[in-house]
Amino acid sequence: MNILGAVINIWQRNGFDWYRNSHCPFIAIFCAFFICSGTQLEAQQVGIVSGRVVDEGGNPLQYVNVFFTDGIEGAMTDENGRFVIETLRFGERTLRVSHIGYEQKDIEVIVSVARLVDLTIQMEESLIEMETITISASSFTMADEEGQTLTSMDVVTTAGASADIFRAIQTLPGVTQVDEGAGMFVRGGDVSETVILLDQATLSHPYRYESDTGGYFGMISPFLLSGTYFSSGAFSAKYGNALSGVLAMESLGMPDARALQVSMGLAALSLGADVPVMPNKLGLRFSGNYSNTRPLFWVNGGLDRFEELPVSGDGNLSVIYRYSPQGKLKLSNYFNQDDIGVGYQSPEFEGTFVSGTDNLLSNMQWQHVSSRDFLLKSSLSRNLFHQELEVGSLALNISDKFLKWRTDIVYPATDRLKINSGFEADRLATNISGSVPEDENDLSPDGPVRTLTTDYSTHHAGLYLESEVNITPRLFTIGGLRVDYLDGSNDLTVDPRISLGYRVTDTQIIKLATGLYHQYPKAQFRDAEYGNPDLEPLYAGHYVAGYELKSELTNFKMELYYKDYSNLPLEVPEDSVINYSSDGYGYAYGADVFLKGNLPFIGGWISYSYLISEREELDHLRLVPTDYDIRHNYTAALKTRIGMSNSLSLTYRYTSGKPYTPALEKWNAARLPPIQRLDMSWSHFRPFGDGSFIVFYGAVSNLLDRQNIYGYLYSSNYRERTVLRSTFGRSYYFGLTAVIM
Amino acid sequence: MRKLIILGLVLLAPCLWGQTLGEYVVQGKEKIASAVSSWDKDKMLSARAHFERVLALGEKEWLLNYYIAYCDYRLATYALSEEDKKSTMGFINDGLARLKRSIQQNSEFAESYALMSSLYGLKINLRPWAGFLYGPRSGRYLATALALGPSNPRVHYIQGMSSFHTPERFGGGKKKAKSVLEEAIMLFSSEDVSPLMPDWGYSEAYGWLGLCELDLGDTTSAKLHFDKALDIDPENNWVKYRLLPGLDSNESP
Repeated sequence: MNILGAVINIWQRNGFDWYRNSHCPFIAIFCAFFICSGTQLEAQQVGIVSGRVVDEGGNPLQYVNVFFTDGIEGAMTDENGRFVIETLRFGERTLRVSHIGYEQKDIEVIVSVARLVDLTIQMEESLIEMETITISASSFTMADEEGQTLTSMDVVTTAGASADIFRAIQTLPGVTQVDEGAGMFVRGGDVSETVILLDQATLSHPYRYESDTGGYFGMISPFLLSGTYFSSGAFSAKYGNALSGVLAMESLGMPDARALQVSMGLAALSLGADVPVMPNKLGLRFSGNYSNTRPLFWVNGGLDRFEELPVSGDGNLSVIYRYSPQGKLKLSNYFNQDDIGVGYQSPEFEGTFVSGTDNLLSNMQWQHVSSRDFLLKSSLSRNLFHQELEVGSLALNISDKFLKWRTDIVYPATDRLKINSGFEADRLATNISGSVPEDENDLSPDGPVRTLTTDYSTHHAGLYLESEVNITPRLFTIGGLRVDYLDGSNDLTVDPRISLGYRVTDTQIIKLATGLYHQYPKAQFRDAEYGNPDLEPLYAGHYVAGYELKSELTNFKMELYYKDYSNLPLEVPEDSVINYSSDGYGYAYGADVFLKGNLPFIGGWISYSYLISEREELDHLRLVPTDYDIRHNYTAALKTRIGMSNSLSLTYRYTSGKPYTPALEKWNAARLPPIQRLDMSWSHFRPFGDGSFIVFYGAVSNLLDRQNIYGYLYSSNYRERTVLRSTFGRSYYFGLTAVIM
Repeated sequence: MRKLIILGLVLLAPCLWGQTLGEYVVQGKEKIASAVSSWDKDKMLSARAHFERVLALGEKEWLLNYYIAYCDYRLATYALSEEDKKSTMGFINDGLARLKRSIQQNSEFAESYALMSSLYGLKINLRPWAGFLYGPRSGRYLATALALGPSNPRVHYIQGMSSFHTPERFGGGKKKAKSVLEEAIMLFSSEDVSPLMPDWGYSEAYGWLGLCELDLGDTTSAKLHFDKALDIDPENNWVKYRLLPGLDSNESP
């Protein structure tokens, strides 16, 4: 039957009264059109798709949107859950069923002429209404926002963190505090096994006042950052050349408004500014900080311990250019310089440890979102580091040049599938020259030394591919593969990694994660004369099982983990040329527990870590506890608001004693006494003008005035020792920060 | 009757197939405007469904997600007034998720941030004890919106509503709301937007300004503002049947 037939049919059924009274001219034109064109259509008969939408219990669902995805034909269900769609498009089509609070469904239907498709559609309640859940294992967070470990405000309001990111992260489980420094010792791993990234660039020397255990502070100020992500294990394939942990920081973006920041404290003076040169187009941020600890030691005592008081300066200059709504360029420079001269006292030698460091990170980052939602981020960075240090017979001149290119691509293929991929290529050139004592416990100037000249460079390239999939509303996974290559020894490593999460209820999640991890040995271990250029990449396998209970006011997480290590550098005492082999091995296991709560005017968290970490590594020639095998780490951090303008923060830490070596070849056979520390800080916020404010703050560190012992320095025959105690007893710090808009 | 529908479909089909995304958006906006004026939940659900269907076509997703989120915001206020907490939270969460997607695709659109701020404000309405958590978040999104759209009237309008609901000691209050809403109205009066972009809020801004005046004791000005709201949208049920009658009862001895 053709269209004309259909129209005549309608006329016949409805009579001429209808024709006469209503649409006569319109239909006449319509008929004429088709008759004249001679078109023969079958479309005069519609296809009908109808049905009923019910919930999991079979109850009808009202207001469900049922529609074809190739047009806007659709219907909403009535109070009985019924719908009817009449359509003129035939063939195989996708019917979408959508209702808030339920999982969206796509159903393939075949629409035919004059054929009724009747469906019964059962909807499943959605447990994920807010956003896609990320399942990065071992990522504890003190921030409110998803995907962030901590915000700048978290850092500066945590007592005992000294407004330092690394120190703030040390209050989270999985990070062991081995001394009073900021070193990131993660789940039984050495400080060098945590990679620190800033806008994709690697900070090869991320600490100020660098030491064997990291350094005293982190190089990057929290005020320069927009977000921080930290994972203590089983992390994603995005991150390579790291055996234990990853800290990825993002710097601030385009400044919204002109602002000037001035800070004055007992040991520091800083000035910074945000300048939107062209609003939303071109922005500038800069800051400078000068730190002189003389007033700090004058107030708190200890001036006599220094030949040269710790002095440092750092600066930052960033230019952000948004060339289109989809893309921007960011050029950043971070510079740090520090000098220290502190008294050194061991049973055999008394002298001064002198160190001077210059550290410069330059990074150019490009970000672009394509019209098909590809996010592309690419960074070209250079980290120049130079340090001169001297104590007794030890005198070293160290310089590192680290060049890196990294590109990451994120593609949200569907609502349930996201694909991440990327690559990185870097070159590290290390030059170490100077003299080192033959016996590391004998630093006396007339002791035997050996001359060291290491000039070493490595090229590394890495590639990864990863998918994040929400298999069902309850089950989600991240699976990835990473390949890395290091020249010289031609090492190629392949690291598969996978995480699985299962949402038991809308507040409880169980997670499992595992993966292989590799890291290249430090340059000095690969030295041709005193090391072994053929050392293999260090290996770790991570196995993590976790449980999370999350509500708006509380967050409880518990994780159990096991890590096995192999290919660790191990000294070969008999061989005078090749001093290290790759025969070292070890393991670490433990549990991390984290409870965070937020109530009106009071919040905080409690973290507890249990750790066993044993290795046969370096000069420990059998399997013994590592230097950072600290069995119990307990932190309680409390923050409270007093009125609208004052906040008070308290942090209490307890760590059981770390191992030390009390006699020759009795590696780490004894333990130091436990360490306890209570810190307190207070701040007062006072707004003025239009958006400007001033914050006055004060802090009391080591409130209980405990003289904690952090180690012993032994004579070469282990008959005498010197105790290393806390730098400060109870100490005070105060200052103010003003932000002027 | 069915034959009539068939005939209508046959007649409309070429038009439908030929319609552009822009026409769908304009249709959707008209549906929203009608639903807002008549304070009609079913109409708003229909508008939301319309935008959801257009979204499936895969173009201008950031704008369509914004419109769906705006419908969610409206539907959440209806559900809140009916004390249906589950539905309110469902619409709020859906709106927030859609705005996050929208911002991922277009991070420069100030109104997405402003609407985020409003949705967090509704969350506080629903759970006042969580205000300490959502209040700062709402403030941050509003600040971003103001930075991105300093002369966008809807951003100022939302700021005005936020000030209206925020106690004076926390930086809000009726006086501040009044001055912000006056600024919004000035911007509305000279607004010239593309037909596809949001243009809601003008009439209601007068409604809220009138409420500020009422709260500050100036009934005459309040009435003038309510009348002005009806000049702009004569079918505005909120003003016609709730604000103006309320004013009469205030005036009566």
